[in-house]
Amino acid sequence: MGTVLFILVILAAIVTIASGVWVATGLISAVASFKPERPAPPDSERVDPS
Amino acid sequence: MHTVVSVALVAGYVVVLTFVAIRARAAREYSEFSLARRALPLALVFGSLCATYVGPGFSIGFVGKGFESGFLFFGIGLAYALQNVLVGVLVAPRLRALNDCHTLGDAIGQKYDRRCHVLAGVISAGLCTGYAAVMAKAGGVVFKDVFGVPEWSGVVLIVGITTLYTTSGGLRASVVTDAFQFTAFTILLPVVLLLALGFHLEGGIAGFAERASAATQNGLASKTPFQIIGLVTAFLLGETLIPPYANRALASRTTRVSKYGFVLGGLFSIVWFAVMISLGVAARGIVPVGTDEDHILLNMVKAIMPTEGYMLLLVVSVSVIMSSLDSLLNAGAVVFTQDIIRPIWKLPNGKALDVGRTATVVIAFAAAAAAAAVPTIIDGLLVCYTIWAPAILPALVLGLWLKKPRPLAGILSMVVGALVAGLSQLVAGGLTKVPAILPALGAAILAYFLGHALSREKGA
Repeated sequence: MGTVLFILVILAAIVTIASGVWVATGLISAVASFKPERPAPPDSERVDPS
Repeated sequence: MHTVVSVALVAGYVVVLTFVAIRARAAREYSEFSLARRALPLALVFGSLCATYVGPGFSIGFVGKGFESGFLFFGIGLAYALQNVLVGVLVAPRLRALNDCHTLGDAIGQKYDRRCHVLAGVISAGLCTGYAAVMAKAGGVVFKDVFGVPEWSGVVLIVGITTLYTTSGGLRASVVTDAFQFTAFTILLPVVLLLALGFHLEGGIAGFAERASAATQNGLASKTPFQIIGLVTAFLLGETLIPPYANRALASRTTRVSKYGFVLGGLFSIVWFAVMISLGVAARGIVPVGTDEDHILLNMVKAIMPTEGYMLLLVVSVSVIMSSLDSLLNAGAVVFTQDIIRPIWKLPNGKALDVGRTATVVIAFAAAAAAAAVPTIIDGLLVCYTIWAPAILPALVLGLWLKKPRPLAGILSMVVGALVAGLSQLVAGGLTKVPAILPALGAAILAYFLGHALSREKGA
């Protein structure tokens, strides 16, 4: 009984770490996919509507 | 040498967190601030949801409970896992399927009317501020314990940094920083457990099992059946769909992501509770009996890890607190804008973004100020749980499931639920053994059906 409990606890720790690693990979791909903010064009490049 | 490594660890953590927050960049539209454009993938919904619910109560608090009462709280915590799975299967996809819905108040407003919408907003914003005050208090306690500085300085530091990135980046900044913080504590705390089990286990595997059994029996003997029922109810309903969770359900990329985010979040809570409780049981051979529950994890890490480990614990604790606090600040600000201001004054999106940002700062100030009035972390959380479930859940769940929900039923249920929960705690607190959440929930459900019947008679 003690050994079963011990193995379950170790498994829980491993699953927890694996969850952290999975979220880390999701985070890295999300952060990499964020497009950088496009800076506003300088005044000289703006088209004058008139 | 120890100091250099410790400072490098904390500095490295701050640098990566800042990088992640900056990459999330400032929200330029209200839909970005409130719902991250409804584009969150499963890994981020799951990580952010778990990071939000794993606050100081489910980490430091659970380790203390494991130390005192073994696996009793693991059993009680299963109610929390069940709640998340049920929300994932039954409620989250329905919420996500509603159009133009930013908050629970929006959902209630769509199902009932504008009065219910605003009332749900007032309750939600108040509760978010209350929960945030508890997190701010926890930040102060951690800084006081680790550095010996006054509690208020920790409160100011943690609330200040969290407010900075939440005000600028809104929900997306909150979610990506949550995911980073989730990664930090889900790797570091199980490693502490594995080290304790591998190198500091007195009596080997049999000793661990004996300590677990003795502590669990102690825990069972120290609680009446009524208290256990009250705790199970609080874990089952107390945090169900509080505003930051609802935001994540609504901001998911699809209804499937919303569903599986919650189902996986529920299943994760089972392994997380097992790890925290086991840390507490393992600590029984390391930390002296009689140590205060909230200090078990701290003392255990101090005993078995080098100085760097202690700094690591600070990083973990700060991650746990900030990931809950940022979600609460953002949710409170969105609720204030969407459920209180917008139904009364028709704000364009640009103005709504400004109001949301201002509300984030105001709620942060209020939470920091109220932190001083929070008695203990667990007590503060229990007060919030007791009010949230009766005040909102009957109106929300029945509103989503009934064909023709009546506004009078929604109003009566929210008002009666909030009042009975508040009064049971203020007036009868400590006088009865019945946990306040039970009569308040019963009263709210009764009031709902009374309002429903009265409206039907009027309509007939």
